[in-house]
Amino acid sequence: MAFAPHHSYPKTSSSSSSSTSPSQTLTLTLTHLPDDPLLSILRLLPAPSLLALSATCRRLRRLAAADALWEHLFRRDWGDAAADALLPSSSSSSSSSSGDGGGKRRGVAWRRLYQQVSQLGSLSCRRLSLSGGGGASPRPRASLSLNFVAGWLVLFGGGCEGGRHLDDTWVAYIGNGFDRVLSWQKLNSGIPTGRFGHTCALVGNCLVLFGGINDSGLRLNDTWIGEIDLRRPLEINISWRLLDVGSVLPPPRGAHAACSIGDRTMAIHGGIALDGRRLSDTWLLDLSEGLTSGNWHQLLNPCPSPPPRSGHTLTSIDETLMVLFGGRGSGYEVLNDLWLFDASKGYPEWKEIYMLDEMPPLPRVGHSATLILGSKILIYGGEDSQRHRKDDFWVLEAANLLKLRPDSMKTRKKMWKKLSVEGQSPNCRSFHGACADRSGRYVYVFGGMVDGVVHPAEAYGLRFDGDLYQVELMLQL
Amino acid sequence: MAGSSKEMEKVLLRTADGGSFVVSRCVAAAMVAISCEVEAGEGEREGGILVPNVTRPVLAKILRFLHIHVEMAPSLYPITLERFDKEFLNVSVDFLYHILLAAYHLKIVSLRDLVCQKVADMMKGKSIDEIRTTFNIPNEYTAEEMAKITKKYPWIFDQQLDDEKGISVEKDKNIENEGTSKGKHKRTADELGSVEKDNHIENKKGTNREEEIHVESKEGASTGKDKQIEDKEEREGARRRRHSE
Repeated sequence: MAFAPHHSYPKTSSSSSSSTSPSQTLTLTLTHLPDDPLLSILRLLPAPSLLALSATCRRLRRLAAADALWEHLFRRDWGDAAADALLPSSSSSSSSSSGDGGGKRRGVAWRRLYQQVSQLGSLSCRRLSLSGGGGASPRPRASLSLNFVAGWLVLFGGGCEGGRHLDDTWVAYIGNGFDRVLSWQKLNSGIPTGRFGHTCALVGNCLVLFGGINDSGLRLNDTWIGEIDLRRPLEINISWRLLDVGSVLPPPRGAHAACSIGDRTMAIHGGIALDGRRLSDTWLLDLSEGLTSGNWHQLLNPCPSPPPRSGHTLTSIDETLMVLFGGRGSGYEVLNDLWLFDASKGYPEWKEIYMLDEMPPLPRVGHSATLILGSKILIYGGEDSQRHRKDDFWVLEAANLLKLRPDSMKTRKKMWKKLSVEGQSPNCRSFHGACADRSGRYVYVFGGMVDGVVHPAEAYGLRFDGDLYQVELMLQL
Repeated sequence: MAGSSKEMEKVLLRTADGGSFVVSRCVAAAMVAISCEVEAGEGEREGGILVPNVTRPVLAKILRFLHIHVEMAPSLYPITLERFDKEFLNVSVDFLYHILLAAYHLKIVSLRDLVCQKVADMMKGKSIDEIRTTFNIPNEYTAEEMAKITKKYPWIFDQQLDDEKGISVEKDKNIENEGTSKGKHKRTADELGSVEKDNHIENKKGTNREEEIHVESKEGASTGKDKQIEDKEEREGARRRRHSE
């Protein structure tokens, strides 16, 4: 039975590197492969290698320019949520479009989008105005928790003037169809009990809140689950309840850092304990099926781990990896060291990351660290050792941390980049709340301590902020 | 399933360059491009099945792969299969292409994916010239054209291509970085003094909480004197006095 080949073997074959009969085995090169297997190979390459390959010869340059290939790379490296957010809402589903048609329809090729996300360098910021309906909005505060859940912003607690704690839960819709006019709703108050300097992380489908300080100065170590109810359209309900964790739990603390690892686990580190000491312990909380109970266990590992600190950040970049940055140590010094927590092997461990070729941003405490588009972490604000509040934005290339070989902690890769701000920069602030939306392209910032406005009646120095800011990462679409 | 009598029946496969192989039916059927003939019983006829587009040495190699993965796999540990695959692909680049082409034409998806991944891994981290050398790609560009191309994509050349290469440890630089990052903002003697005082008193009263949160809130709200208060120690002292009221 005849089978017509898709291509013809080359006629010349002067030498063969194969050990079998030379006359029957032709010397092939990459360019002899037909398009299909070549494209299969191209799809597996990291972007820099793909571009290097595309510069080797004309055929590869043509193949590597295919828009569908770059859309695949974009989704592979940055995720579907980010990719879908960059398509206009009225276009057809991206999975059905292929070839150049999809790119041209939208106006910007996927390769260019990939480049822009990879090289993110600037952002713009706007204060969101409240709807005129006269609804209430959360009072200005600092050391609150702000989370993004299924299109909604969820805000809880925090502290305000006079050192008083707050115990209210507020939500605001910022999902599809949000027209930048903000409308806050107060869901409830009193549960969980009032506190500031707590943490709240989205673990799987529910919020997990831990610790904090109340206005009697008492540090807490209760764990709360906030179950999310989205059954009614355009409505969200959160029911908070105490989680049964048994008798082993972390010592009480505030100003610690926390984040989720995977769907069922939350990690915490450090903070300020009852006696004012700064802690350096790492604890993991595993949630049971059905969220009926949880189990805390401490990470007891002889390997080095981050020194004691408070006001630092933990950001999860992967199912098994999280990044710790900054904070204030027990000698009162403000830090800028970078640590990676790796839970991918049998035993989780901390590794300090040393940059051989660059300096990290200046030390800070009370900053925010949010995972954004392109596997980057956006670091914003905080204060320095002189208690000067900052307003600079930095990105940390978490993708480079993912690529670090398991045993290496030293890197020559460029990890840090300071972003330029287009238009007006938001005020300098610290101990604010920040979170990204599903696309990773927008970060919402609320509250924090900001420098006082120039007003005769107000004292110099400090003011709590109560506005919501939307930070947009600049891409040319 | 391998082991049933029909599967283990032998079929004859031939190549255009005179190769001839007797294999189990299930192995032959794994080559989707000829599976129809195998099912139709062509392999048991006098001339067997002529496998197109593949030479004897390449088919021998592929049949070895299929023998392990189709016939032996159920009784092998995954790690054994992994080791086999790694050793199996330890061949010249040229032979890899032959295997890839054959796997592609014969529609053996698992082998095709395996070879694609191997070739991709060989490309990672290489510069343009290194890729050309490793994969025998002749340079058809002039120097000017190359300059234009590299200028067009500067961003890839910024990023390190040496992901997979080793990074040499430079101890001295490392220590320097450690020192600078942590010790950059050493406290003045005054601050040191005030910190020690703070710790002492705070341990007693447990008022440390406010440092991190909104220490300045109380003094910001009450006295206008705060404008002049630069020294941290005085601020802390003022706060503690008010707290004890």
